[in-house]
Amino acid sequence: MEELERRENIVSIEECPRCGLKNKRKFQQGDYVLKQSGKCPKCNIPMYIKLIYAEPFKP
Amino acid sequence: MIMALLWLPFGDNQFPPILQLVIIWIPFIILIVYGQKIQAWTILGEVSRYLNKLKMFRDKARVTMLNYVQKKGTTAEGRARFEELIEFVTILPVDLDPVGIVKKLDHVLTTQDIQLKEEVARLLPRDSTEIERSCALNMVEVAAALNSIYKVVRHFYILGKKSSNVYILAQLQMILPTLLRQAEALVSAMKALEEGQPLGDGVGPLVVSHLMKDVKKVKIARETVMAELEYKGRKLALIKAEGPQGSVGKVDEALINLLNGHYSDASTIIMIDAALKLEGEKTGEVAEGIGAAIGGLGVEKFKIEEIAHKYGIPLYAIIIKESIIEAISIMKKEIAESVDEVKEAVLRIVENKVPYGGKAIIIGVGNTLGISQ
Ligand SMILES: [Zn+2]
Repeated sequence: MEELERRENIVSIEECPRCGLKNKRKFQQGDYVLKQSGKCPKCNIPMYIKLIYAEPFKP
Repeated sequence: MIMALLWLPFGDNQFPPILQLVIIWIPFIILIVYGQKIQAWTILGEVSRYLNKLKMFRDKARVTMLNYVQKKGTTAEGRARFEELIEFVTILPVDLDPVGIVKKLDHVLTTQDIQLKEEVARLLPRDSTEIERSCALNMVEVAAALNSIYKVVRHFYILGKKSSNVYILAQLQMILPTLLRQAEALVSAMKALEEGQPLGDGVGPLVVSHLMKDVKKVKIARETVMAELEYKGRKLALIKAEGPQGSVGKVDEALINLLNGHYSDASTIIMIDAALKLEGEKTGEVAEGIGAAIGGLGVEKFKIEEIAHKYGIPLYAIIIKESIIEAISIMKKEIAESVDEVKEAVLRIVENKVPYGGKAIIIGVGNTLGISQ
């Protein structure tokens, strides 16, 4: 069972609605797609979560 | 090698008769007389290993579910009731006289849905959120599925063991690896549910959620939302289940409401859904086609086909290929990244098939867990 859990990394991709800047970070509990999350360092406006997915774990 | 060693001491002749009896004839007779029994034993051993794994998965799912509802504040009594819900059965209507069976099926399934939902809402504390309720409900369904897989396999295992029937056991042995993979996927779905992460099946609602991001959403059917979008002079009605709680909504009813309302003159209906890929096909591949792209027992599909036929509106389908296991596990990267391609395909169909000033209905089919709008 632990094997199953170790195989994947769950990530949330944030995107800035204005400049399209993307930021990849670890999934946090309570995240969902289209939730406001973080701030764009360039435009200083809230970003939103565009995608949440599992990618193969790379140590 | 061993045969060569045996040969050596006896020169270029053959085995002495006693050795010949021991190493050739006795095993031969044993195999003829007890061959099937021996085969049954070896298969039984293998099946029982699988069975133990399935039991472990079932128990793990049950514990995960119970821990989840405990964490959300369900009483001990409520948790006992949750355990009972795992054994909940739904009796499907008789199909001896199939006329009108879809309506009966719809009735039974809707009743089951409402019954389970109410029961879960009653057992969870009153201040629980919609997301928590839907996750608990989905967990009950997953735990029930694992429970029934385990029980059916155990049934045939015991049956085969009792009757020493190689054929029952051999059939079981053949399907077990696939069953085990499905059970594994269900366990990983459990993990996604616990955290509220999108499932592979959620790719349809994901595409529609991106399309309706900046426009006003209204509720159009039970657990289903709709938004209107202007695109190059065309009016698009976007439908998806209401997220981010885990639900597939009632997209069929939403479509019926729209067609019986302002959208009776729509030029096309476009359905986006995850579809089963064949082995060898790439996960996340996008394909276009014709027809109602929606899974399940067929009730929604029937209703959608009927209403589309009634109004004479063509049904277009965009499907995203994934395996059954990927569909019920946390969404994979390849699936998530197909979203932009699907969006382009949708808008291309709209441009080609909907005249300027015309209307189209776009439906994202699937479980919208972890996907808002
Ligand atoms: Zn920005």
